[in-house]
Amino acid sequence: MVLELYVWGPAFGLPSIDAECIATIAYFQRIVPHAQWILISDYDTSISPREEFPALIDGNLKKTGFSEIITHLRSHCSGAYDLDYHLTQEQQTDRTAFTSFLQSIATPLIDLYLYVSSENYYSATTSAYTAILPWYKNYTIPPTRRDLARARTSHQGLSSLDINAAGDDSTHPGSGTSGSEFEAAKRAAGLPSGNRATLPNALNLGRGKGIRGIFNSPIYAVRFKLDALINELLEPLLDLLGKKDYLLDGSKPSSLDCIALGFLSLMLYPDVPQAWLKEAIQTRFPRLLRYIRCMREELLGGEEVQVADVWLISHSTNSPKHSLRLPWHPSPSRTPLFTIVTTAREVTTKLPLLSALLRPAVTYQIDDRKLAKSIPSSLPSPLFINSLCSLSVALAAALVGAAISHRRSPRSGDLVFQALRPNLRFGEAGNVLSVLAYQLPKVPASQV
Amino acid sequence: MPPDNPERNENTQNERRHQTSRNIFAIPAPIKRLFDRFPLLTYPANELPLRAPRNRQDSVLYVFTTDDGAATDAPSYNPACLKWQTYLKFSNINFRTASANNHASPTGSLPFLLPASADLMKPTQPISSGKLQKWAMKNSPSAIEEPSDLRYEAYLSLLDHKIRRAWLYTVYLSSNSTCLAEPLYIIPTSSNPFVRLAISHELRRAAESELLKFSAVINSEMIYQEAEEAFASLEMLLGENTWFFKAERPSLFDASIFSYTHLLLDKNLGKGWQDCRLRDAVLQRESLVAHRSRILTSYFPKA
Repeated sequence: MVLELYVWGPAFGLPSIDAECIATIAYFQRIVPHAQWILISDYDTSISPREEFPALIDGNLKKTGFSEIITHLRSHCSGAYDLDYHLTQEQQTDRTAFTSFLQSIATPLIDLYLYVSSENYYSATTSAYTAILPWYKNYTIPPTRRDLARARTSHQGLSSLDINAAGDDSTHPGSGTSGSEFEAAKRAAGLPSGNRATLPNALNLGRGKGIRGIFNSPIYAVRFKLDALINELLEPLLDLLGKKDYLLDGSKPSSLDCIALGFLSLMLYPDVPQAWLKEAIQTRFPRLLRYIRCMREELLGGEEVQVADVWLISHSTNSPKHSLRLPWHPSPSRTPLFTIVTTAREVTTKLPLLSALLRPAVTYQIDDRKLAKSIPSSLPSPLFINSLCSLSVALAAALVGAAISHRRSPRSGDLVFQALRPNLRFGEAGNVLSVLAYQLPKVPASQV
Repeated sequence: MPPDNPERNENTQNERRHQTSRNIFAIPAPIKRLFDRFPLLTYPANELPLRAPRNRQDSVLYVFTTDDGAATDAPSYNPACLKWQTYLKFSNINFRTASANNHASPTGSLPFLLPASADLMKPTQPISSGKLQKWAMKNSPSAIEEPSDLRYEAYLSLLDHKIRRAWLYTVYLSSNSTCLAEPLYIIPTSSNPFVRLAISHELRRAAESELLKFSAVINSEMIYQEAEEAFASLEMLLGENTWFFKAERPSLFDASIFSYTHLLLDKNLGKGWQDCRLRDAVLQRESLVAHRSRILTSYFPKA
């Protein structure tokens, strides 16, 4: 049975745009023979059980995510595809811990680098996605992934990376004065400006904005925080690497090297305008730089993956005959109807007002183990709340209906006032009393 | 009045009468005589209200706990609070716990510490959980040095991510939510059933969104498996040692581990456990169970 590996498409010369996908590809490339697996660049995550890539389809079994896939491979084929067989028990434990460490610390860094930072996102990441997605998916997938990246990094208070560079002009000192308006008008007209701060002068660093202005500019203000985050990730890795060639055992790569390559290559290879992560690795961690290059050479073959080649293969229908190192295969063909339906659904759930109503429910995948007893909640039950709501809605509707019907058809006919005759009797009660009065014995008036 | 000086006595009485007749604000004599018949009773000063802070000379750590728990210095039922409570105990710092909720905290999340101040008139600045370690090292009689193992951060990430996510799932989203999250976090906040319902929805949604940051769907099997793997790795790391990383005395890492293992092993938490999968994962790890009871007996003797 051929193993089918579904990943996000290639970008930045790397086989995928996602770190875990790169790691999984590296793992397969290292240990699974070429005839035994195929690689498919795809964008429809619904084939994956947990709706994410990488996804592995092995006959009837479907697995999602790097950890789950390598756990599956380890048990598959009597351990022939286990890259970690040579590790000691202690190293196996370390592998688990450092894999979790990379996933938890490096993911937010990649999020900040490629998604949250608006300059990098608009100039590098979106164009990379354009190359691997069909045009209509560009309106849904990259923004969704960016929102997710924002959510993951919101607690770090680095959202200032997310400022559009276009807003920078207004932060000049003295903006808003007539002089600055004049300068702006001159600039708009294409005339050379006389303002010293706008001259392309190497020495204007502290002059135009003042030293505080420099540190307040978005990228410098967050630089210190970013450096701390980078150190938090790379220093333990550097310590672990030491003088060895590989992170764990000195002689052979392990799955930890694969996942490290996945994350670190996305930090090093993308060509982005705000390359703070790349610069940090190049200038402060040259040992890790050499390690990443070695790993790329060894695990991925070192060649740049051309997006156009992979795109051609993905969209061809006949069986591939190509000279690429990785076993790329065409992606499954989808009917236009399926495409239209899924796209329409995705677009409607993104529209401003409809999204509140049509927000897809959170998917729970829970194994159905029945519990012996369950403690009933002491909160008001949904049934009670629903009946209360429907009751109050019905009441409100009835009131509104009555008001409307009253307004539509006010009292018909003339309004008649009847003067009340003064009634000296007791009314109906008087009638009853008068009946009783007849039954009373007649008393002579003199005795009263 | 000394009896050997009657003349002087008369003089003073005359003087007083003279004064009272002139002073219009003085109490008229008949009324004064009436009042003199009843003795003036001075009640003792009212006691402070029960909720007024006492023992201001102690530092107070505000955590999620019950009022009884605060009185008996019981472990908090929130892992983040218990971690710092245990760490301060490790540091030999004298402090009390007090019950609070997130709205009381300056940072919006518990725990926080109000340090004792020498001068009662000068209020001290509260210390948020992020700065507690630094504060404890400065104020402790015997500051704890964190072990400088290169694997420290890696194993901590197992706890902060894998185990924390499983905890969030098992307490707020699984069938435990009615027997753990409800009696611990929802019922004490309000007596109004509708407010409680709103809070429970909020808690669930917060837990959901935290889990959805790392996977597109909430898959209980994966969450529990990762936590089981994490506990197995932590047991390997502890091995036969008393404390993690072969340290001489317990550190923040031990406190973090204890904050989860203790609550998972506490069978009386809330109304008792329903979904025992995460709890069983710890029960299988004998050295972690021993580590927990070691800390419980030496640092929480009353619990």
